[in-house]
Amino acid sequence: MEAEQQDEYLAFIAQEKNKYKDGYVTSEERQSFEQERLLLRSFRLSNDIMPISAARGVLAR
Amino acid sequence: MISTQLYELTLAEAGALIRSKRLSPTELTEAYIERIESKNNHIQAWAAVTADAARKAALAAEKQIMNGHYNGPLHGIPYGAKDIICTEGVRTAAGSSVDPEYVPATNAAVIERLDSAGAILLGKTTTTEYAYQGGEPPTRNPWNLSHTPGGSSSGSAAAVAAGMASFTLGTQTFGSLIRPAAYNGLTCMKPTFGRISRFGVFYASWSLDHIGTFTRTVEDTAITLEALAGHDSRDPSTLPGAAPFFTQALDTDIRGMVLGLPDSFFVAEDPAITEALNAAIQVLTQLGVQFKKIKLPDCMDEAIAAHRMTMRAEGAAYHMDKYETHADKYGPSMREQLELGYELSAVDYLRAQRVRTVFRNDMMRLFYEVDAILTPSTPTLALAGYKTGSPMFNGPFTNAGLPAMTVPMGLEPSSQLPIGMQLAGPLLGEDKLLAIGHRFQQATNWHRMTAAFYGTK
Repeated sequence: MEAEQQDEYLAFIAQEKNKYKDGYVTSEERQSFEQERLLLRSFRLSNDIMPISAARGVLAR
Repeated sequence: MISTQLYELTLAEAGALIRSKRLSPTELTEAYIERIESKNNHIQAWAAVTADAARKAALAAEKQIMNGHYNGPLHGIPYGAKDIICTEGVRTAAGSSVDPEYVPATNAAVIERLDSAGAILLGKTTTTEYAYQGGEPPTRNPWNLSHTPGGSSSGSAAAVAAGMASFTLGTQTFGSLIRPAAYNGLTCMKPTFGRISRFGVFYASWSLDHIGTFTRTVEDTAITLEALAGHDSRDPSTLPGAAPFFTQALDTDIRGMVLGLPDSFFVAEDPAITEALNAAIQVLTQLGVQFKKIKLPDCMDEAIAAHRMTMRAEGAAYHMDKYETHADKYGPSMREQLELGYELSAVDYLRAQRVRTVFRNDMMRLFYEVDAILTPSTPTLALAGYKTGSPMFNGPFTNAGLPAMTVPMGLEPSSQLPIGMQLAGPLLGEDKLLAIGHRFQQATNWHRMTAAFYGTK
């Protein structure tokens, strides 16, 4: 790798690492996680709907 | 007499020359090794190059062919494998510092199949850490070196685009095949879930991982898919029975086929992508294809949430033992997702899987009214820098386990970055995508275009 390219890459890695200076999970990702969990919990599901691993196959028409 | 450089041949062209003994596997392998030696310093597509083993395998293939034991279109064809795919005796570090010197004792099922077909492993290609988002490698896009090649299969896409392998293996858990292929002007299929065995590949998510190949044409995609597909008892998700002859689908008549155009969600952010899609629709119309607007499922947002939760939970479960003892060796972005995975309850995980069932059934019903769906492959061109871009246009078909393929459909003039069109099909409907994509490539030249970098010595 050329020196200039290597410097740019190392700066990117340092910038990424810096996002986590306050903990393992950033506040943005924490918020996204909570919103996604809420979205899934509020989605109405019939009791006949199984998890995808049990329900794979070709649909009956 | 061959007038083009050997690294410029498509897989099918090289295969035909090898079959007729006008090209030897040794010549072809040497051409790719020379190309790697001269270009990889700029592209950084390879985590490891196994030149000596490749030369030995090429010589063995040459002897077999000269003795009349030709083994099919992959015999003597050099390829690369993403560095989460286990290779016997060859370091497989998965782009991570967790176990950087890991050397598998056995090959992954896909490597076994390619070995049996006589293909020649050139080495291992770079990946984001364990094929997650984050832990990006330094790999560059050959079309524009200041831009990402995409990911997670970064090196696999860049290697083919730079003429450093005839084809490469990659994986997709969200958008890691289709997105980098589109960013690099390549043709690639993510087949139906279960078409190709994942045995011997580091899992990112058991219920979402797919394997595919980066190639330059639809014909090459069909050849590799035919070699890789099939049941494997070591991966219980693989489909039962024998795999179809995908190359036979290439010449299927596409006149009268109906392509669905989604009414929402797949709206590109870059106007050049929309322009290219409109031009592709014109070409397909001239080829006799019809178009119909389709309404996507109401639960797109919930499906994306379920997809992300599944990746976190299954990733955390898969890495649990290593994470207990080596947490500090994981990169920060992957560690973030694993930590969130450990927080997720079993009830929430199962709810996500039930949402996926609803979404998958809704997606499958779309194909009652159309033969395939047409969208742009990506919302943007390849980004400048190292972030690998958005997989959002690819996620719905990964989540539902339905086949999808990207085919080059344009080039943005100022950045010189390629644009891909995504075709998605019904369950087990790879044949339709291959037929449409092949006819499109017979009518256009986008797949023949190469980066300015490509032609340099």
